[in-house]
Amino acid sequence: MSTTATSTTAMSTASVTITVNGEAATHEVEPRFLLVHYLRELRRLTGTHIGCDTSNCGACTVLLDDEAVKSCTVLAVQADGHAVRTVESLANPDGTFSAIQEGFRQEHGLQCGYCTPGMLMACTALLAENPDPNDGEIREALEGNLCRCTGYQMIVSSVRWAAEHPDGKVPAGMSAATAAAPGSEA
Amino acid sequence: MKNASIKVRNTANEIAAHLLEANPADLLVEDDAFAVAGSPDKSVTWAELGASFPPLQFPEGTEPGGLNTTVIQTAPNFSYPSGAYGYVVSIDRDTGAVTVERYVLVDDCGTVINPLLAEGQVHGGAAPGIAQALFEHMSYDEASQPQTSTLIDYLVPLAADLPGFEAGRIVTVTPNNTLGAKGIGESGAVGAPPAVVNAAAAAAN
Amino acid sequence: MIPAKFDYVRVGSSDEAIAALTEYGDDAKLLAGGHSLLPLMKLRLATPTVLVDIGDVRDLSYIRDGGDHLSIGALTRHRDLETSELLAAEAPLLAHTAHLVGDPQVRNRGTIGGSLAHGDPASDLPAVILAMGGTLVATGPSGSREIAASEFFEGFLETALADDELLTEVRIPKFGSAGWSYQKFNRRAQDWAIVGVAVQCNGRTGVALVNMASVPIRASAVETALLGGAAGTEAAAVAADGTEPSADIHASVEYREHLARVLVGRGLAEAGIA
Repeated sequence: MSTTATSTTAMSTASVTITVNGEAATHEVEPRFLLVHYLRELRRLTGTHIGCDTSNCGACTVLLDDEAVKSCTVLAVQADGHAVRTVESLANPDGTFSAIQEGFRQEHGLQCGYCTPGMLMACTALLAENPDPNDGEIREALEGNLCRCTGYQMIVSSVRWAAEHPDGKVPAGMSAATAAAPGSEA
Repeated sequence: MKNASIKVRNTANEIAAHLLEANPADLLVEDDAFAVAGSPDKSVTWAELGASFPPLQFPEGTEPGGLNTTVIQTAPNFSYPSGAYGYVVSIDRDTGAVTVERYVLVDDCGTVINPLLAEGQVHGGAAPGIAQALFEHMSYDEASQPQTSTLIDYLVPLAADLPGFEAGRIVTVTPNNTLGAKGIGESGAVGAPPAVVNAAAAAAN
Repeated sequence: MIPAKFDYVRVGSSDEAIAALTEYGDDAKLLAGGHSLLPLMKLRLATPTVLVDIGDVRDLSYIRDGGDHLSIGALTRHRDLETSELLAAEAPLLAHTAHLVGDPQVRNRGTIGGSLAHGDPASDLPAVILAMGGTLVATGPSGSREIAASEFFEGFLETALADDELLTEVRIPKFGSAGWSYQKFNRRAQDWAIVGVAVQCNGRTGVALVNMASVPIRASAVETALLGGAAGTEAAAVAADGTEPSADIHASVEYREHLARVLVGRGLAEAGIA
């Protein structure tokens, strides 16, 4: 909104230029258009979920200038001129999982998956700031994200896995997911 | 599931033997393929069996449908999973706040196919079970309007509200199905509320 | 949920913000982090016709040592309060309590000025600034004026700010290692306080209450008792005197009054007042 940055005239629509996952685009939007709707409807990035819509559940968490925010409580116009990262940006360029994604796979950090995009982004912000968090720090960092399926423990384990395997590579023979193959305990 | 899997495996074995021009009894099931014993270079993968075999040219004797199989099975009785949950809670006598300090969950769901998923089911049941005892409550005003209609007022617990679970397992297979498996999905939710309430009552006395 | 229609302007300085407020008058609302206002707008409990976005006015984001006091820019985010070394050394009650506001995502957006100007009796930071005996700086078309925190909160979600004024700065004394405590009682980690108590020692002891009236309030009865030489436990017994808490699904009036007495007692003890 560089055109209005030095004006005090309020407008009923606004041109916003937002860089999402490294790509900038410009759209004309109503000021009341929420960032989460912008991401899902105009950028067609539907990985970011709408959960409670009251800023409690955190399913809509994205990174705004590398900080975790709830995109249901940010207007698209507030993100004008800023950079957003969504869950779609997490995988490595070759398509393999990032450390936190692999952690969720290895430690079964999700069941229905609805909270997962927001969890992954909140965890990404946590690990960027604190690469080796303990369980208490992880639980505290996830205070803004609700999960109804897991009871959180395996999400905590997933973050620990990512902290212990920052390259996201699964050591040979160490895969919890593989160890759980049929017959392993029968 | 087990019976259906065995049936598909046997059918696949027949088809693979036909494709490899081998005796069905001579085939070995390897990681993702069938191979002829003693001739490891002669093999056919599951993907090849599923994708490229012409459906109308199954070997003689193959059941219609090929690898598609439906098995209908009736169990002679229900399975009865069991478990024991121990909760330690503390009560702040001045404020009434109840905190779950520790919980140990031991379940017996018979044969476990995937231990990670089974444990996840227990955690995922126990968390809302604890919440049922301590947090969650639908309330209505005098005009029957729900007052807990958002997650601001309806208290779904957070990671920081729950300590870690200590889960254990014993295995007693059920004779009532071929896998020997029993249910696990609801055990945490069933066991947690009375355990938490009883622990809180004990702490209050 | 989508807010009702409104017009929008983003300003780049406090002067521009004041100009916009002057132009649009009481139809306009200031938007800082948006974490108090936008939820109300989504529920259509607030329907401003103009939003003046001050979120990018970065010259109002600072924590400065002013010699005998600290100056905090109104747009300083909770996140910056909780991680400030200067606050940790000179006003640890504020740094500590900022960390208890909402959740990490909220603290990344919410600002101290937004929290104070919203004037919610359930918010944590207004009570802290009250207990600290802070001063708020309001800037309008004709310049700036200082408002004592104890004069700032006038009614439910109403403050002493005029329609064309912008809260620009918060000033608090430097407390060093003086005793302090924040007691927040809630059900879940991210929730608003059911009752909260802020205690700050500094010669006189400031005590303020969260959610014990329609505005953030000082625990005047407690402060007076302490000035009169009462022990901490005696002072705590009058914590609910002069308060007007409301009942909701989380707590009755009587329970809130009880919690206030308990939490003031704990707060005074933690702050070192026997």
